[in-house]
Amino acid sequence: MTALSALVIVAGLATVGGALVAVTGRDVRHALTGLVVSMAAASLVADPLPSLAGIGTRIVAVLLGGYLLSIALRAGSTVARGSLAGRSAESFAAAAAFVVGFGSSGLGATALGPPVAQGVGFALLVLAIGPVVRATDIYRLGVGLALLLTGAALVRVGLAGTPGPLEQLAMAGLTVGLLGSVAILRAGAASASGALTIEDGSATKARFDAHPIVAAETKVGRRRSVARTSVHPAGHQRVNLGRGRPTPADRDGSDAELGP
Amino acid sequence: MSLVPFLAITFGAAAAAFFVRHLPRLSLAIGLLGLLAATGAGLTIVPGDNLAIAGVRGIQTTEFGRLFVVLGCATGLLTVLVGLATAWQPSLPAALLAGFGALGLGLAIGDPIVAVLVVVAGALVGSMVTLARPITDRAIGVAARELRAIAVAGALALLGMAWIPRPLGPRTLPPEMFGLAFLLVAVAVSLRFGALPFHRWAARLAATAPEIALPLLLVWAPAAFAVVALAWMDRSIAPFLVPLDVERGIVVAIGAASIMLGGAAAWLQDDLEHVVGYSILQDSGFVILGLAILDTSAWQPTRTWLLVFVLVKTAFAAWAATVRVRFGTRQIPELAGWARRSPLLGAGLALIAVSTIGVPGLLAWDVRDSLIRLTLGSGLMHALVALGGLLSLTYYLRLALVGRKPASALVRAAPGDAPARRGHERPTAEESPAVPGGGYEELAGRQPRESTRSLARTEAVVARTWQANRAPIAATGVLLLSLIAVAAGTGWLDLGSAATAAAPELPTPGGAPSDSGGGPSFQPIGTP
Repeated sequence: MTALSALVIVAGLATVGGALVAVTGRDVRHALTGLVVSMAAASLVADPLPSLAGIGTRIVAVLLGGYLLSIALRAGSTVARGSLAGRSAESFAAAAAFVVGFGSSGLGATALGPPVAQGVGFALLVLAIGPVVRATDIYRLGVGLALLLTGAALVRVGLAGTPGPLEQLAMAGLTVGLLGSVAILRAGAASASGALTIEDGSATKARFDAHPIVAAETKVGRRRSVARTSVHPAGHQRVNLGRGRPTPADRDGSDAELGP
Repeated sequence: MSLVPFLAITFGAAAAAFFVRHLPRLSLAIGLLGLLAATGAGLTIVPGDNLAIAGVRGIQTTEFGRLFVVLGCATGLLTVLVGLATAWQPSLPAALLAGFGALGLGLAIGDPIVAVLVVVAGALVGSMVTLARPITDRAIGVAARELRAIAVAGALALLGMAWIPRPLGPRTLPPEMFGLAFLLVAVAVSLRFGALPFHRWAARLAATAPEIALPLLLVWAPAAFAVVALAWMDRSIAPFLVPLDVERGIVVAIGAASIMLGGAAAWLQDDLEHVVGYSILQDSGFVILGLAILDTSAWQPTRTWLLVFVLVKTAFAAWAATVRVRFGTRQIPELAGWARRSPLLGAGLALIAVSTIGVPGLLAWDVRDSLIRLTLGSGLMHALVALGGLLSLTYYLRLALVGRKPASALVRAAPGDAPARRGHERPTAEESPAVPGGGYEELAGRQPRESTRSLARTEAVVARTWQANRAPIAATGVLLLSLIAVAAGTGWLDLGSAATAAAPELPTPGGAPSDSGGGPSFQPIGTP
């Protein structure tokens, strides 16, 4: 085993380990540290190694993005939900994904990059699925998206080889853009509700349907107008998108949700 | 390198506008001047210019990219002016500048993977304009959904494009790989546009985001993404003539469903913002059809339609924003008589409808028909999807008919199109203006000098005149946008030649582009 291969393996382990901490950590500061370590180490998972300038650019971008996120995390609770599946389950899932990715290196054709990169990429993609699909937490969603893009980039490295300097620069810009956007959303969530969690409103309120409408008077803003609400057969009121004015409850964000 | 001034102006002005955002008028001035300068810088872009970064030639300007950014910045400027007169979003100019800078850069990059990264990064940053103050939980939730859609689409495209690295040929890859890679990228584009069945996040975004920001979020950024995807498909999938009937069928189904059901949904909506959102969804279906053609004949109609699409939907979103603020409601049944009260807006809507659908012989009609014919042939499905495309007429006509009714109380109370004399007729707008009266010194609490007092008086007069005439100003802005759209839709703007222009040079995998020695070595798309 050459020194480069050993470096790639160590970087891969750091990438997956950091991602595990990011996804399962119950303290946002620990989770953020794990995320930064994971994304920074991912820049080293390539054979041949990218240029020093490229690696440096990626690492600086990760540090900058992490710093922006840490500023946004100062306000509000430091408690994160973590993974409901638990660290053990997530670890086993990541390990299994790594084996699948490593074993299927090239995905049907000759791979131009190291198999470790594809394996680590698959592991990150699997770890990212939960936060991306089911997150009700802005920070956790951001972690998931960061791991998703990092994992996709690693699979790309495994398939198509070491990225060039322009791609390294683009990836750095994307890192800063993504983490910065999550920081802005996190700060906005803190100012709106004071917490990371976003209320999970009723999905039925947003559904377009053709239930019969019942006119009811509500005062909206400066005008008194007729608000149309549909009456569900079970007696619960909900608002049709296409057949009436949204109720004030809809406008104040109580029906925000992140689920599919 | 002629792209550099454009990038410097867009990113520099965006950063400056952001950093002085606590001084709203200065930020606004920087944003407006930046958009104006960016439009001019875009016109100076020379197609075919190369830029090397770290010794690697990877950036090359094209005629299409030049036209895209020029039209984007010009309509962005008009959009900001309409926004100033209606519902002002302080972050809009900076978001437009940063967004178009990133899109312009992405369209000039030959490597599709790098281009996707740049376009996605620009979209992520630009999406923050979604957060209109006061920030609510609902807005955060919608912005988070949008972030998710952008990032997931980017990841899917990255995976699909990385799967087929050049210069491998079909003999080394099983055909299924081409199909899966093609499907990944096509689904990524569909997700990005919010096409059926990925439309929920886009529908919520259309309902929550400021209407004036919808063009950047749902139209321009996804359009650039689609251009990059189309270029990749043309180079990496189409030349190998691999039979991808199942995969193409799926993509065609997504496109056809978006066209037919999107139009129906837009017609059924009572909320103007939802009508705009679903109309965007409907017309994006034609772009998705273009991705499924996988032939060089798809290049021109798809890219031409993309340019028409972005201009028309920008005008429509601006129209909806103006109507909502002018008449104080976005519920269509309450807008009875709006066209009688504002003939300018009525003319704008008519031009938007013409530029969207057109008539046989005009550009919009011909490219839509070409895209349907190239994917579905000339049988029953062609007729069905073509009829589905004409469903646009239903919601445009509905809006027009509502506008011709006797005016409702809300509409009667709204200002008309006639310019108000200074000091007379204050419009009943919901949002406070973005141009407050008073000078900087007064705002800073210092005792102003005599010259400053006269300047302050002039500013106050300008501010009062602006306040009193916001309605006709906004309507005029919408009309100008509609005129640009109809110029594109009728073919007066020569979009066809730009649409057939060559794509940028594609470097070999691993980051090192092919060094041709003297001059570009790529083969223009569309030439035999």
